[in-house]
Amino acid sequence: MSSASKSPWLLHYNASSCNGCDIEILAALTPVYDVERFGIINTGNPAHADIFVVTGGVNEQNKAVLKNIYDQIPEPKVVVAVGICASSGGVFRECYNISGGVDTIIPVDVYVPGCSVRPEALIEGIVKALGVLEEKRAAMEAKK
Amino acid sequence: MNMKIDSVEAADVQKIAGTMRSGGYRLVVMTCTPADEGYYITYSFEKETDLRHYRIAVAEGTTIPSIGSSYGGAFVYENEIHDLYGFTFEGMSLDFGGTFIKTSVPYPFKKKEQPAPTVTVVKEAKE
Amino acid sequence: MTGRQTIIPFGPQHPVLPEPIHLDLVVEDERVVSAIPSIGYVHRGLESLVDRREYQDFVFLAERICGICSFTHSSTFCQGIEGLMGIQIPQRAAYLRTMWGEYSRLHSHLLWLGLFADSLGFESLFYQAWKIRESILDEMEATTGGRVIQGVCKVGGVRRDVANSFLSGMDDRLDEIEDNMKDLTNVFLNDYTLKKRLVGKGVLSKDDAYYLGAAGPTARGSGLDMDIRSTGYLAYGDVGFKPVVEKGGDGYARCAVRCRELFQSVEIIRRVITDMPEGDVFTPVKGNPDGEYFSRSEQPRGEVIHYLKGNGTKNLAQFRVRTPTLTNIPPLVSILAGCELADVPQIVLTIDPCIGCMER
Repeated sequence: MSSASKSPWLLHYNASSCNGCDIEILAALTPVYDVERFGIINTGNPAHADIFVVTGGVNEQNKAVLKNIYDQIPEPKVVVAVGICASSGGVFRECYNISGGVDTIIPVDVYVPGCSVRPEALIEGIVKALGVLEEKRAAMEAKK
Repeated sequence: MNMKIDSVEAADVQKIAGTMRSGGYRLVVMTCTPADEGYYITYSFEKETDLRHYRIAVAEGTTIPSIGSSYGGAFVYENEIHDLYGFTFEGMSLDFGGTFIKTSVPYPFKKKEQPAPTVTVVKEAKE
Repeated sequence: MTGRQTIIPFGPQHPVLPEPIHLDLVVEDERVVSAIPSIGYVHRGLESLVDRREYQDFVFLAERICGICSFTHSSTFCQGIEGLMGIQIPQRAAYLRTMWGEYSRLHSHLLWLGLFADSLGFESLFYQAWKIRESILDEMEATTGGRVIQGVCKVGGVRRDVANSFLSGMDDRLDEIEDNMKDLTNVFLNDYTLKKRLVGKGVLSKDDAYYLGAAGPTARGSGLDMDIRSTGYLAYGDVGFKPVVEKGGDGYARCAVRCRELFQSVEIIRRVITDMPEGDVFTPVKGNPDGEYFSRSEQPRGEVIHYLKGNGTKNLAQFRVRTPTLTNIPPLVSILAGCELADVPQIVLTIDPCIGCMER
């Protein structure tokens, strides 16, 4: 296991979620669930991040912002779509301003279902993402 | 709670807002609704528990006088109605020029032959 | 001195903001001259879905306007439909709605206190607030089945009843929660560093608050006695409700209002649990809504208004939501003018912005 997967840093972006999943992400980082004890830290800077956590279906004004943040995260990176809205658009799929799940804009590696997600599901999703991160790193090493 | 709505002329809106302001009422909300003909815009004011609604009937695309001079906070409602329904307000205290709420379709709540637009079409797999 | 003006963009992705809002800050050296908000990053347009969802199903969508005030949105929407159709909900349902409404106020205020401490750089306090919040969420989960989205309100009453034996157990747990909150709010109200950062910062005068349309704790922090709960909807008339008002108008006053409201909510829950009437928790609903209705209630962030217009079919003709954050934007713009650049994050947070609500 490489050092990055032992202490992955998260970047969270709300792409038009109702807040339900966002506060559950924060709840997973704070006491009781407390993933910080495993070295998982929430950061505000895309350049520091390994895992990009996105909530909410993407709306028209967010497309460019989301793409921009994604491009700023260094390789290898993993994208986790949190909640049913981020996975497919959810209950808001038919709204005029929603263009669908996060995967319509950027490639997604892990989907975490739920409305809103439970912190346990979120933690499992992040652990899955660590596996993907490790694979991507190995692939990068092999290319060199 | 008072649900009675008084109809007034669109040109008198500023005058009513002025009277309400000097009478110590606060602006509660401005609501736009499609009517059988044209649209209604309802202004709700309140002082303590006295809630009053005034309604103007307007045709599509009309220019409406802003009440921004009496209520500085009216700009959020006026810009929202502009962006969602396509009305122009004259003399807003802060004019976003249509960028307050950016939408994928212009004026999504404007009356149309078709129901409100759908961006994503759910495709059924044919087998 | 008139220096050169610079525009600093703030947001939409910013470490202090859990949700995206963008502000253009016009600054002269370190002083903010004016702030121009732009919103729409989480605008979904869910009000347009009324013509495709039946009014009974729309309760779930109304609940998802916002994940923090979820319960209040669903109960306000139900209250509107019940008003249109002239339905009287059973007393027990009204009491249960009041109880859950106050629990969601507790969780929302604790959430805000945490985020606020974080914006001031006080991270351990943030963690403390969220630790207490988890015990509120446990109560929510035990009674409704959901942590943040409950799905327990329906037109005509509520979906689940809570056993009386469970209610009496709640009372004991409230004592412990109250003790923990006392320790927490003591820091917010008396800590030297926090006071230094809050007292006199972002002052909103009583007149400005009234005429710019401030709502909720933002208005009550400026000495306005404004709270829709005073009208006595649901069970608030029976519990003898009196709004919490602070006179300062600054960040400290707004923080103090929320701290004191925590204990008020605990008091209301205690009263509601003790006086809980027996009986059904819903009445069967027949027919379709017709007419217009303004449904108002007090969210954790202030007064929320759902405007409903029915046309005698299963679908509503029109649905509009006016949320407290939208009407708190003009006061925010006014208090940001003239502040220090370093105070911007905490002043933005003092109005408790909930962008998900604001933009629907």
